[in-house]
Amino acid sequence: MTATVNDNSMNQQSRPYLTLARVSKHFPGVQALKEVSLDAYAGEVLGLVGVNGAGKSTLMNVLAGIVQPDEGTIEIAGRMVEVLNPRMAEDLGIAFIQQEIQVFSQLKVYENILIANLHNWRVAKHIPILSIPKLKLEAKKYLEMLDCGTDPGERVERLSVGERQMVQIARALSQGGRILLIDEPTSSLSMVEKSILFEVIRKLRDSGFAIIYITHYLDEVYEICDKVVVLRDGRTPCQGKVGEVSKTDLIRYMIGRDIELISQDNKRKVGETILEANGITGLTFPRDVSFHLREGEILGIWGALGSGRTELLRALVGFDKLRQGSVLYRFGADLKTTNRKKLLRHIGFITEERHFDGLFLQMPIWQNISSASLRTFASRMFRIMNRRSEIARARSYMDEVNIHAAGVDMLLNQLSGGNQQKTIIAKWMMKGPKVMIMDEPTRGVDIGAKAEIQQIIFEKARSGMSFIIVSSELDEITVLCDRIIVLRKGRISCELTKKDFSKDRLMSEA
Amino acid sequence: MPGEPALIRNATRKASNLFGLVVYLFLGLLAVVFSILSPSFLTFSNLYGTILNGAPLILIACGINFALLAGTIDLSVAGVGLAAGSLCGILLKNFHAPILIAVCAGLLIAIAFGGINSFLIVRLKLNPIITTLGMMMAIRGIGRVITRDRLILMGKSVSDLRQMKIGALGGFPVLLFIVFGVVIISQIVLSYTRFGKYLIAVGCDDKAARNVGINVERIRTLALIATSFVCGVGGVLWVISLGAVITRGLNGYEFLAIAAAVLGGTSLFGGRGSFFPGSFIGALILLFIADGLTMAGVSPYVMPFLRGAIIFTAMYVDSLRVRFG
Amino acid sequence: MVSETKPDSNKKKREAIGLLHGEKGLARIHNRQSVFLLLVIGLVLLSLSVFVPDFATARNIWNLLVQVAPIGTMAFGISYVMITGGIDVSSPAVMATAAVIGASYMAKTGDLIFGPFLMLIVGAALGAINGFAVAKLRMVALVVTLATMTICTGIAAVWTKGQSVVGLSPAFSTFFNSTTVLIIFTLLFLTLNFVLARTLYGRWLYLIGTNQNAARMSGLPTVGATFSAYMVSGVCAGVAAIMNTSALSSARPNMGPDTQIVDIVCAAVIGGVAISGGSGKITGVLLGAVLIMMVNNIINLAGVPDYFTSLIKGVIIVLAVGLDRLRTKSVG
Repeated sequence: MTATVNDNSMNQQSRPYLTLARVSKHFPGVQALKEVSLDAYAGEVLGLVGVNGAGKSTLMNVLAGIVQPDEGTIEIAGRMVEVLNPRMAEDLGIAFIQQEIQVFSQLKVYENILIANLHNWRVAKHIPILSIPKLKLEAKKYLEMLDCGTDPGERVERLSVGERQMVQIARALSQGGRILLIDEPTSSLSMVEKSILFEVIRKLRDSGFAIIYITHYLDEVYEICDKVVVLRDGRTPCQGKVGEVSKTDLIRYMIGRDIELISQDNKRKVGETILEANGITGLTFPRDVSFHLREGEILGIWGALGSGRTELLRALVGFDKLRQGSVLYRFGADLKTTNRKKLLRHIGFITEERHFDGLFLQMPIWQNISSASLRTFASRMFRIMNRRSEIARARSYMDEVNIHAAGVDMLLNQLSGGNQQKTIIAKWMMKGPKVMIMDEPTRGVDIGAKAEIQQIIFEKARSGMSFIIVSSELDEITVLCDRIIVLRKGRISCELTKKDFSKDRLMSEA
Repeated sequence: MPGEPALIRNATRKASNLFGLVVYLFLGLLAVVFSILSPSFLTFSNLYGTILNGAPLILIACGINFALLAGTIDLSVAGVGLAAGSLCGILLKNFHAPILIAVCAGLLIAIAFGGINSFLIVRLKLNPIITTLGMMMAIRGIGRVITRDRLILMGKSVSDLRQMKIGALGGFPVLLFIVFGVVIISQIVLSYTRFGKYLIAVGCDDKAARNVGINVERIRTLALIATSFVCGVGGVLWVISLGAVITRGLNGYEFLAIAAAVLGGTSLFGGRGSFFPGSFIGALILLFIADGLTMAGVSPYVMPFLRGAIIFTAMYVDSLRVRFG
Repeated sequence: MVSETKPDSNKKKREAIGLLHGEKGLARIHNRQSVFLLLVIGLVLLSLSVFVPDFATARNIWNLLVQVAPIGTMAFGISYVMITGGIDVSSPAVMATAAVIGASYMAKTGDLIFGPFLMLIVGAALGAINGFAVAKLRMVALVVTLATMTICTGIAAVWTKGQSVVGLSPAFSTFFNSTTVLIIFTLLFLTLNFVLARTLYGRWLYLIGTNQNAARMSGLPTVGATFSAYMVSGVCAGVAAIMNTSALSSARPNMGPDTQIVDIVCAAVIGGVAISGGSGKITGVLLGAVLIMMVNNIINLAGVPDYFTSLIKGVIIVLAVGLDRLRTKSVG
């Protein structure tokens, strides 16, 4: 099922500089890469696209030497190589420019760029004192390659995000990178910074680097890439020149020709408006977002990375300050403007990173489940906890969400990701809020648990609970939601109801 | 960082840049205020007496600065100084050892303690706070074992040393040179050697440091050994300049050292700070306060409060800086 | 040779523990840690009674228990703080300051009613300062309490000009004699244990110590609960001040050995409180305190000179930290 377009006449070389052949990688529970093959040529930008979970990060980690493939070969300049660790990757000329900018804010620009090889620029051969002028000069060399005018002696903490990225790229160059892996670089950049970055990439390409550019944004593929390869479910179904693949084709390859999952939930009645947001504007994101949510409705929020989804949720419940706008909630009979902190008491919030602020890992299941509803188990006088009742009710919720564990007293860190997520859901179900906000409800959860969680959402919605769901998985959001609002750079770009759902539309509006 | 309030970030950045300036200004302010309260404050002899007496604090502050920059902490610093000084003193007094041997012994024992600390904290990954608390206790104990818990007066051998001057440079005692020497060399190491850069990198972001190939464990180990070594120098100097070993001396210096480092701009979270001006100025501020208040005859109540207030402010700024910067 | 009094003293000891624990026998101690500690204590007692002649006397055991009281009290206090993930090294210094202020008040005015309360108030106030800085201003707990410790030491020294407080009416010590002190200690133990183990507030502390962010997201009053933990520690220091003052019939700026803070932290860590927070029981801390005091007792009776104790204590606490790390590794 691979559509490969080989066009020798357009290439500078007849052979690719980097070739992956049938690379596979298996992690417990999931086959991340299945016989991936791609060719990257020097003097070309190869775009790597795919939805969340398609295997992009794993592929990059393999190339960068952070993980080793189970099968398959890697060839550089015609030679078979093994990339056993990051050092080897560096020696082979592979430079991984990660999405998270890894510069040291307290060091200067030249120190950051040359950090791996500082000893090459000493005052004299056997003296451990570094020569600052020599370092600055060398650093300037790489900055100029990137047309970057930043002063090498500047402290990195004063640089903007775009400039820091330049520093990171310069570092990669100084380490002798010939193959640049650039991972989602634009989500934190302004328009201006982005065009500067693209200029730099073009310049590097023209100097003969082989560049693999990973992105979510299909527009960027058409702007900067020469070739594109699609990754889906660990496979590479499509690889070809950018000019020869249309955007719709690309989307189709990314999503697959699979039959759309039938929404299992057609007869749900939706009640009156329970929550209304008017002109919510935070300090940066969101910008003037308005929507309403009805009882029993499942509302989805869709958008690319960096579009402001999490910021919208945080602004809604008062974790971030609002510059403008109000939130109305139905306490009782009418919608009233509400203090958002008060809102938090009536709402459930499942966050994106459960390890950071969702789980009490060293505690047993029942204590996790009851942690949002503790007051209900405390006696009137003296607030003594009724353990028996707690454990019993936790057990019933455990069954309800079908957590696979030996007993309620198993510790959370012994559970799988799916069961952990279900525990969090059980926790909020116990609290029984009218509105449930979920940020990536099935992230890092295996297929079986995913389906179960989606079922739970449907059931609860049937009994009147409303949901606001943020998800980066196209399938999930189209299956679960009644309506979807699409965010783009903090604003609503469109709002779709179920009958308008189409994956193509969603991908293009993001 | 997307979504982060740019206004707050800029304000905090300005504030933390200002912080450096403010510290200098504050020192100047103290100098002015105290010289008004007691005219002899700003005299040359007073100032260098202050620095001389404050040598242990200055050096122990520089010592702990190494640990803090690397992102860890070492509460045994004063204890190490004490033990090193005690060993040196005992050797000089009871064993009539030559100066060089005695000093080297003190420094060696300090390095040994640094090695033990780094083993426990870096290798075994024990909690640095409580581990070094325990080490502080143990090392102070060792110091007292060495001196059999008795005050030792070292008499003539040391007083000669103390008075030793370098004639050509206008009569400054050796000890003063050693103090400045240590501070300046530490700063040179920080600013101009690979180790110094790696130190900051590790304290700033140890994950990223590992990613660029820095051996984080090795850097932290070296940092802790440097900490103890510099404190050893401080302890030896203390004993020599005092002419005696006080078995329960350097009390509370652990905290004063941390305070001096933070006042000088070192962050408790690692990766930021310097020796000169940095912790040197921080130590000077504390010394000026102590000295100035005493000279001005101010009620002794004021001192702990004033110190506490200043240190609280410095640490509060540090915590803000990390949260928003 | 096994002495005749040995079984009696052991039995008395076990009864004493049972009594303090408030339960019948060992049946309710289901915590593996506590059982282990009990075994260790029992073993140590056994060997002590055999090898050290003065140990197994009723008088010595009683004295031991009385000495456990102030250390144990402060250990309970810092356990509350450590469970939330923080640390409080200022406890002994706060105790000394509270003692000194209270004692000099009582010496001056002869008011023995308000005196003890004054000690509690001073402890609470200092604890509140710690709590405010850590919970509200979000400063680093170690440094805040280190600062408080230094300031308190300074205050105490200046308040008394370095001397002991004189003129305290002997009625104070008569009222707060060993029996009263042990009763107070028992009540304090029972209360703190119960609150931590069975109430909503106790649950809050454990959750905050396990994951502060998750606790906040779950709607718990993280700032208030953390603040109060430091106040509890401060009040405990105040109680310890009362105990120590009555034992000495006076108060000094440096009451108790220098190693006090290490004893207290040791008692907590050995007793099962994790340094990183989120776990630990007061019963364990009690046993830890007993163990530490027994070690002290052994050291004293064996005639080990004072300066060695610092060394020994230091090694003990490093071992305790190692133990804590092993424990945390196996659980998490």
